[in-house]
Amino acid sequence: MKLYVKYDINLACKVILQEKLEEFGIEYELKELGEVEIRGNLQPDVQKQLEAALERYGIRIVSNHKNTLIEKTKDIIIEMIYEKEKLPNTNISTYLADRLNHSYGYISNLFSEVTYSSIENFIIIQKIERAKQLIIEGELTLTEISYQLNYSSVAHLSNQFKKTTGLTPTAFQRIIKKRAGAR
Amino acid sequence: MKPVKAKILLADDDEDDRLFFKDALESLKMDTEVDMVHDGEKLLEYLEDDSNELPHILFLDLNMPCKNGFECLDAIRQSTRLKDMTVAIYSTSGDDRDIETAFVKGANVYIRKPSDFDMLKKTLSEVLNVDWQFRTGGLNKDTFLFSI
Amino acid sequence: MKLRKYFSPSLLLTVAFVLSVFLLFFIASISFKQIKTMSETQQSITHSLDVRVDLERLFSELKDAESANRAYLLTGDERYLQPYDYSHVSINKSLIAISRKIGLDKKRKDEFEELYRMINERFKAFRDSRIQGKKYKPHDPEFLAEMWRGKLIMDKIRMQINRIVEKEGVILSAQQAEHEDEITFTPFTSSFLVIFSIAIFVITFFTLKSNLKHLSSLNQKLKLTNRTFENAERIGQTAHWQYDTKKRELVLSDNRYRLLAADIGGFPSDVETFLKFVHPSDRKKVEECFDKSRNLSAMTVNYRVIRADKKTRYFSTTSQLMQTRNGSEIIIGIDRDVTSQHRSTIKLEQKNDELRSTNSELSSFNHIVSHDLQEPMRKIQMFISRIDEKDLENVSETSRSYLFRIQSSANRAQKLIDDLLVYTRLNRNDKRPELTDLNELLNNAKVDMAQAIEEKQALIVSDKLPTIKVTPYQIEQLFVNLISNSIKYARENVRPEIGIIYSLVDASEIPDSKKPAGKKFHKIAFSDNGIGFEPEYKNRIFVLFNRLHDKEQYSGTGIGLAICKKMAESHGGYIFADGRPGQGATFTLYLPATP
Repeated sequence: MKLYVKYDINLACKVILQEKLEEFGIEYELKELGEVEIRGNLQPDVQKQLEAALERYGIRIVSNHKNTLIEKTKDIIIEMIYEKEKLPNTNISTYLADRLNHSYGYISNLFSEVTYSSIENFIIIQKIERAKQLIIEGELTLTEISYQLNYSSVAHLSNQFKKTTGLTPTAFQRIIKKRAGAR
Repeated sequence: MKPVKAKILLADDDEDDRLFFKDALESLKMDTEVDMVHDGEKLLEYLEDDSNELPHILFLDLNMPCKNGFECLDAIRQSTRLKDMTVAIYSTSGDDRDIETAFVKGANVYIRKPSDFDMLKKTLSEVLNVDWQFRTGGLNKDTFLFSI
Repeated sequence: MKLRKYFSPSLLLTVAFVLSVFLLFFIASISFKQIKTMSETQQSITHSLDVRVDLERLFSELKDAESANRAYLLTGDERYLQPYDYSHVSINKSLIAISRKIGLDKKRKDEFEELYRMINERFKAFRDSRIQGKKYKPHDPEFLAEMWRGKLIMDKIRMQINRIVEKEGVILSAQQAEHEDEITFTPFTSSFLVIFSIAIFVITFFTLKSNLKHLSSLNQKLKLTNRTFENAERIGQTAHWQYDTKKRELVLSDNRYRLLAADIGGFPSDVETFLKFVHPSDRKKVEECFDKSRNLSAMTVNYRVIRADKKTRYFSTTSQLMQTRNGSEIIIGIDRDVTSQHRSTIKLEQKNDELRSTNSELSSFNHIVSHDLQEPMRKIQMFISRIDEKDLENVSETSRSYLFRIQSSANRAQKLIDDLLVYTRLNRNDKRPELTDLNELLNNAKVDMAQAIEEKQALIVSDKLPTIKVTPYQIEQLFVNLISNSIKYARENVRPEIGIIYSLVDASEIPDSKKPAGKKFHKIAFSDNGIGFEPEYKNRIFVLFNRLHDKEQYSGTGIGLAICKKMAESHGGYIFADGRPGQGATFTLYLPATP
């Protein structure tokens, strides 16, 4: 049997974060995505323990401002892709600039510098990842998926899918089905 | 946030191909460490040996003596220790049937050996990049399929 | 004739026979009984008449005795008494006779005994009168009284006799009436029964006659069927036989003898002889089959026979056990002379083996091409690509040009190998038709060709295509090849445009089609605005490795369209090309709508 689970990563992380912070008896306030304000300062050893505890869940403390900005950028993009209603009417660059309070050029350069990959590339990877998920869930047709992910046509989605994975969406679907059948 | 040093293993019986692969990797100036084995049996011995650090990604030729690539792939996917390793098939064959079989058997990447050195470099760089994204980007490893 | 349904003719006959016999017995017994009764009646009538005569005689004898007695009384002469004595004797005799004839009937007996008593009384009176006659004179009152008494007795006797006679008369007439009744009843029943019997006989006769006629017509038909069957066996080189497992009797059809090149009846029809004709090394097999066919399932055995003319033929015999209604078990067998089929099968098998070995050679050739030839070719390319720009500067101009030529040749060889592989892969038996949306396949093809389409800014406009049963990857490849062909042979500086037009058409619209009209086909036409070609080449264009243009001008191996043709044909479809130089080409694909 195979379960397909849909989860809200943001919510999950937030809950874990809250639990852990409370466990260590730290007074805090959750700000924007991925931003926690701590009352006062943390003792270095407490911070180490907290880091270790959060590491297990893949949550890292990035005190660095640059890193925070990049993590935030990623979160906004993922949120945008997974929740259609959050897709901006304006183009993404303006939207990101507005949300992060920095010029798009600055964000874009920073992103490439830190991650060795452009924001555009990150968006494509995330969109295709989402498309894969939707194809496997099997509830939507390719046309519906392309609409949901803001592609102008099925051909556009297929092209990008093929460029990213080397496979057409139908070939991908067939392989996943066969894998499920083989196991 | 630099890509972590990637440990790479290549299983290929062809000496020339091993040479091309090594040269291409070295010229990429990526932080990689590469080991090589000459056939399927030796590959499985290597992977089962606990003293060897498991590679992040395995490049696996299909057409090998002793145990061919598909047999090795089956063995890897059946082992609980190895099943999460990224496996990239590295073969001369461009046959659709081979590609599909490889993916169905659990390969993550299918590389048709390029016939141009620059193309090889480009291919390897792309594969390592995609693998890195999957390893670090929180992407779903179950649906990690990449054909080049 | 409806009765026939319920009674078989033989049952009908049996019923008629039993009925007739029963009726005859019935008539005979009734007649016998009637005759017996009649003779009894006759006898009793005779008796009654006899009794009357005897009584009359008795009375007259009594009168004789009276007159003799009177004469004696008058004369006193003893001689007159002589007739009296006689009378007395004969009266006694008569009485005995009468009593015998009267039998045991009580009433008659009582009457008779009364008469007997009266007669005795009369005789007593005679004797008394004779005693009185001696004592008195004839006119004495005592004497007269005695005479009067005699007369009274005599009157009484007369009356008694009359009564008896009368009663006998009554009995007689009753008997006669009864007799008459029986006599009239007998002829009626007898004649009725006789008529009834005759009717049964007549019906039986006609039934028999019609049955006989039917039988003879059936017989005719049977004879005809038999003759037809015999001829059929002779023409069809078959024969049959029946073997009664209990009686161990084997019956062979005439053609069985002919199949063995023997005269009809030319050898004894028994199992031993039957097996003697079978090739010695096949005998065991045939016997086993014979045994197995005893458990009701049809068994077939192929074996060799050696005919009477010593020639070996191949026979195939199918035998099966059949249970007849009367409980006997018969194995019936059909023999066929399959020599010619056998020989052609052997030839076919040889051809098949050849084909198989050719195919396996071909497939190993494919393997050689796909792996063993590809590897060195790839390496040549690889090594050339590794020659540094700097190193190239150090070699002569000619050498550098040679190197480029090696590279381009190797590239071309690689491309040829790739295309050849695609082409030979079509021979693989991995056709898996499934219901597929052709729009999706076209879309995949466009995705495959995305780079070339983008580069040349090609425009592809398509009608909505149907969803049909095809082997998806084949049709996808076909679309890829057609699109790539159109893009490759685009006119210089003209943006390639490909129009795809779909319609459902009748088979009769397909040129050179041998498919019967009425069958529907999906027609998909790919038209481009490329360089086109001379119409005379429209068939050559599909031939493997056949190129219309030199390879310097247009890259390509001349395999793409050959692949298209093969794929169309493997789907039971067709593909045609049409073109005008400088105006473009149209490739029309027909795929069957109903496979």
